[in-house]
Amino acid sequence: MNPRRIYGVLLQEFFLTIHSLEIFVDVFIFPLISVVIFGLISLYLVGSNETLAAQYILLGMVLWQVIWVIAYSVATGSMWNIWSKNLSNMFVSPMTAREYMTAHFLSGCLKAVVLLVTAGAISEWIFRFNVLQIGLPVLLLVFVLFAAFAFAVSIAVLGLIFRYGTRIAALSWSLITVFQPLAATFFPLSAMPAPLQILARMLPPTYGFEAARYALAHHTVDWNLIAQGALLDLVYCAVCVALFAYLFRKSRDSGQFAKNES
Amino acid sequence: MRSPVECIWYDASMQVLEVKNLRKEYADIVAVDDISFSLGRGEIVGLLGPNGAGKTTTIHMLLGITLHNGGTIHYFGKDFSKNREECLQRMNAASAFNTLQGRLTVRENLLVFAELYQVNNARKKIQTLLERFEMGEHASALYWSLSSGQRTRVNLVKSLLNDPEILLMDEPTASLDPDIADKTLSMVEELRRERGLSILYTSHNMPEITRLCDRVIFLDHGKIVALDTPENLTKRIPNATLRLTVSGGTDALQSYVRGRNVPFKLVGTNCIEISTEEGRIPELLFGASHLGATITDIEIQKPTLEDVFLQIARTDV
Repeated sequence: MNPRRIYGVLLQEFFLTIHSLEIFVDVFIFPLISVVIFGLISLYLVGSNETLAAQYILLGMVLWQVIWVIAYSVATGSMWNIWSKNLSNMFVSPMTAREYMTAHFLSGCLKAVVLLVTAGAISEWIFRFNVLQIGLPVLLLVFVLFAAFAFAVSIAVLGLIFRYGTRIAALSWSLITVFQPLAATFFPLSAMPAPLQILARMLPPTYGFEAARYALAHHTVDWNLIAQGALLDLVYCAVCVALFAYLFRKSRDSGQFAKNES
Repeated sequence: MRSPVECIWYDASMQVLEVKNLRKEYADIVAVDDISFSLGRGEIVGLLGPNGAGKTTTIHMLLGITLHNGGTIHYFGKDFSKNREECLQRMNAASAFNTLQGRLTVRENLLVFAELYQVNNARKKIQTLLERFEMGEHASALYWSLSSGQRTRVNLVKSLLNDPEILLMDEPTASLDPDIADKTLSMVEELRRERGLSILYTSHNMPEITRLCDRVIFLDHGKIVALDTPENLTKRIPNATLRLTVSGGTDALQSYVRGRNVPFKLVGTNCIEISTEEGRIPELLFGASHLGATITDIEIQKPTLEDVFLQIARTDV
């Protein structure tokens, strides 16, 4: 992988973000509004003596933004190039698909850090809840778990868009939200209905949210949860990377890749 | 063929691109059917054909964004499928059908591509190229705010950022007015003359192809139906048109032409249009001038590449 070419795509991401109100709103404003709304709900619950539940909800919403922003950045970032008829220009340069995806992942991670710091500051300043109560190591571990999951889902979606065209473009910003209720984002896994618990256990972020809640309640790391999440992430990443490679190849084989911009 | 004398780099024997038995099938359609051709150093080869002939698919395969089912592509003697990055680093592409990011300024777009091609002193190079294409003052303009002619020139700047040795140009002047199109062609000619740029050029504009190209490939239904210099291709249509305008009626001229079994048609009362082999025109002119009638106008229309194109598109040459 060539660092200058990765930097080139990152540069494009930076220019696009500062020039596009839509991206700024999607990546920063809407997530922060969600944090404020859930912060207000948590304030109400604190008044009802549900302090821990209130903190779980706000913690879940702040951490969810990591998954959302990275998935959005990887999948929708490419849509801006397709809509501009610029993706072919990028892919007839020496840049490889691996470099392109890596750059979008890094861009997503950078945005997630900015958002996490901002959301964390807002929750501390307005709602008196410090995300760092879960501890910096847990926060970092959970960030990695969520980043890997978001990357896996978004490259699978991107592979599908490359293969089947922009008629399924909406998946790039919508599919990831399906996982929000299923991954025990706001409440303990044990509180979910039994059939949904089975589904939730198959999702890596479930273990990240459980680990974050455990750390908040017990001030220690549940390595078992982290390990289970990491193992599942590895499986998701392996499957999704292979799926993307297959769909990308099929897209070029069928001519759809070039047709996506016509 | 004008290029060998004008371009010191021209060397058709030194192949920078060699395509052998290239094939592309989609389900039950053969889009490109075992085509083979080469591109020499400093050579400009035109890729022509009616819509659906396989030109764009060929270009896409040559750039690697569409995969081929059979055959080989070699750039600079290296297998493209095994040396993609190295080959693409030494070439570039410009198409009327692709644009840059509309929300970025011209300079920002070009900076991105400068990084993708690892261009050193990128800002200086971008400014120099923009000025050369008379776009220097638009460097800070958003790409979407440019006219189509300006966009085409920015696309050309992008395609020259890495000092390519090969340029694949897909109808680069499609949306340009005649003046800008002419300037663009002059720049292409200049680039070839200066640095021996090899160009594969698709266009529907026949005068443009005739002006630029050393050789022309005609594609039809995915096959190469003709590959030759523009001059030799036009020779495949033997007949030229001779139009004579005379004073005082065409009766004598009609019987003279009829006597030599040459087909003709009348155009108005004083004009006759004769279709004949190019070699017979001097003889016919000489004969006509001795008929007693005063010839007031002579017009000779030689076959053009467009005539060849139309013949190929409708039948076979």
